[in-house]
Amino acid sequence: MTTANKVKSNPSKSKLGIDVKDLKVHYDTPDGVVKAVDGVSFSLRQGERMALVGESGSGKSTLAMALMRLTRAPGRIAGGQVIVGGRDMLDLDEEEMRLQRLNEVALVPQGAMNSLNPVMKIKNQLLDGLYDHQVSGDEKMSKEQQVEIVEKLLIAVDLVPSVAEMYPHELSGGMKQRVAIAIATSMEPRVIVADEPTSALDVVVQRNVMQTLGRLQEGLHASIILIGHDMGLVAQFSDHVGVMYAGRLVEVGPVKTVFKSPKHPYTRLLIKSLPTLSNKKDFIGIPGLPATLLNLPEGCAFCLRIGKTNPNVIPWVNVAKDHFIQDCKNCSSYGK
Amino acid sequence: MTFRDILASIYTNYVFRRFLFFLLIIWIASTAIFLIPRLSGQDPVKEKLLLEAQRGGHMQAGLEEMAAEYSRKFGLDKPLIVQYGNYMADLVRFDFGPSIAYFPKSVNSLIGDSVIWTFGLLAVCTFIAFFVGTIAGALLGWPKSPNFLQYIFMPILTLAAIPYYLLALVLIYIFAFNLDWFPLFGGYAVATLPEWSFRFTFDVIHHAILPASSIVLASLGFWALGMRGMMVTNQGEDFMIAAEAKGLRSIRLFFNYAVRNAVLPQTTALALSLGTVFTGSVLVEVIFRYPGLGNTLYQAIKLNDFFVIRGMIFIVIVTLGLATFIIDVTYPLLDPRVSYKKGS
Repeated sequence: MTTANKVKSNPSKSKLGIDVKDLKVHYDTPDGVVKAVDGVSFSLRQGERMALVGESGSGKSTLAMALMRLTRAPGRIAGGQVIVGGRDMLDLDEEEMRLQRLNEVALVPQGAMNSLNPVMKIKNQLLDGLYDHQVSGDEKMSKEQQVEIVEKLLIAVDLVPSVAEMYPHELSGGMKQRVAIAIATSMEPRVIVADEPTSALDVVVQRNVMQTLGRLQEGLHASIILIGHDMGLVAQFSDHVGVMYAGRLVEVGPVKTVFKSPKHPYTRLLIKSLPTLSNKKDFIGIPGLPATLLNLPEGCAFCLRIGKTNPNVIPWVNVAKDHFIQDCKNCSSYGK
Repeated sequence: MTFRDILASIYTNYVFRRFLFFLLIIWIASTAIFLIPRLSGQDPVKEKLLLEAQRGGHMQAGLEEMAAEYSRKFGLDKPLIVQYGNYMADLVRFDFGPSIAYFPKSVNSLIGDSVIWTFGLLAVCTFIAFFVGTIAGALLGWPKSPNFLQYIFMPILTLAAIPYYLLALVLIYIFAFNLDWFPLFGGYAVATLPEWSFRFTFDVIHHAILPASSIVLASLGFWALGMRGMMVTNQGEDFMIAAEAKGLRSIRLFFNYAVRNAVLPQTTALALSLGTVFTGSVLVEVIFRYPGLGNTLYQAIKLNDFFVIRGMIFIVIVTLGLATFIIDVTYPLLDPRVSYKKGS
């Protein structure tokens, strides 16, 4: 995008896309603190794709919101660092953070069906983000410029330019999600957070939308964090995968190695639970229920689920190239 | 395009269809006003004469002839269908006949004299309450609003629980009776004649402040609470979260996203309350002896002035129908999901 006046905090793009260090999101409840995200660390280089998977309630979406610094009360970001473009976003004031959104980190929201303002034309929803990131003193965009930008953004996500004059209710689910992708990429962000971007779409549309998202992300050389519980989609789309359990990352590694030889028992069971065409027997679940996050003790949350003694302290172990797990001696052989 | 096509396109036109609907409502309602009193099976002329006869001692002689004569004069001796025809013809010409209590003044001139007062007082109050209440509700339902707003608006909103006529009495007692800041009653000072002068205008405003305050204060809460509820509901919508993730300025989030969507149900309520503007605050007019429609209606009911009552009811029907028509026609401009096009 040449016409939108971009203010990048760091003009020399570093190789690092996003660096998350020990991120914690806590919910204060009358019964105690719920640690929805409990010390998550990972980093992504530019152009890399990482997926975060886990059951419902494992903290994936909370993490996504925290990366945008959009955590709402009663939740709060209790600690850690989210470094994008050399700056810790958790240190910025509200106005600085606002300018970072869309410009440096953009969100492709979950539940695309309602993520657009129902009473605004698509073109205005594409443009208002750009307006609000213009440096004061800049001239206003001319009518021709606006039309040109909107057209370019829509064509980039395989939509016809006439969509600009439409309202969200006139679009299909897939088209709406394309508009959401067009908005997210309109300022060429360094990082895209896609929170279950295709959860409401059928598989054919899902594939097309993901291809569009991937193409744009490659063109921008942006890092993308894909949140999802669709393991098949994750396996196809991303380079790296992080498995979350009870608000913590338990295994991180390249998609191929993690899927081929999962090392953490939770990952193993998660992958085993996928139904396949060759195996039409009963669904294989994961025993027990996801951990209650209220007053969760330190150490191995998975041991608590399967009734083993929690060793309290568990180290990160490098099991293969770029492949790390939370190695708990009590449960590591579980479900082999 | 053939003539038939033109007719078809007019018929499928949204505004035209809404207008037909508006006429239909008025027709049905005025037919109901015609039929309901006649369903009682009583002869109003005879009843009235009997009542008079009883008051003045028993004078039965000539009563039958008198009743027949009056019925002829009022056209009540004709068959129902002819009466109905005459009635509708009168309505179409907006001719409601003479007032009984203020004979020979016509119902039209009686209503005409008071309509401007009611419209001036109530329409203005409704708009003030709507705008102030909606803005207050929007600010109260916005998480980034400064806290002190809560302390200012919340006590005012509790006034919504007090009926406006009680509030009117309290205001009269404090500000007119005890403090003597405002006049006790009336639309303008006694012994002046309505005219377009600065002095008279000031006098009218001075008289209107207390009744207006009681109406505005009592209805402010209604608008504010409705708006706040919608604002809070909207906060949880996906598009609000997505909009915040776009890094929009707070002011744009507030107006173009939150308020713009929350105000939709408010406008429907505004149209409905404007429809009842002419009779909405009868009690306030009566308490303040304000020379408006409400007071006129009250007097008419007290004096059994049927023609005035009928004229008033017709006015209410027309304004309510008109308000609904206006909101029907303008709503698609406000909410694109409601379309002018048929079937979409």
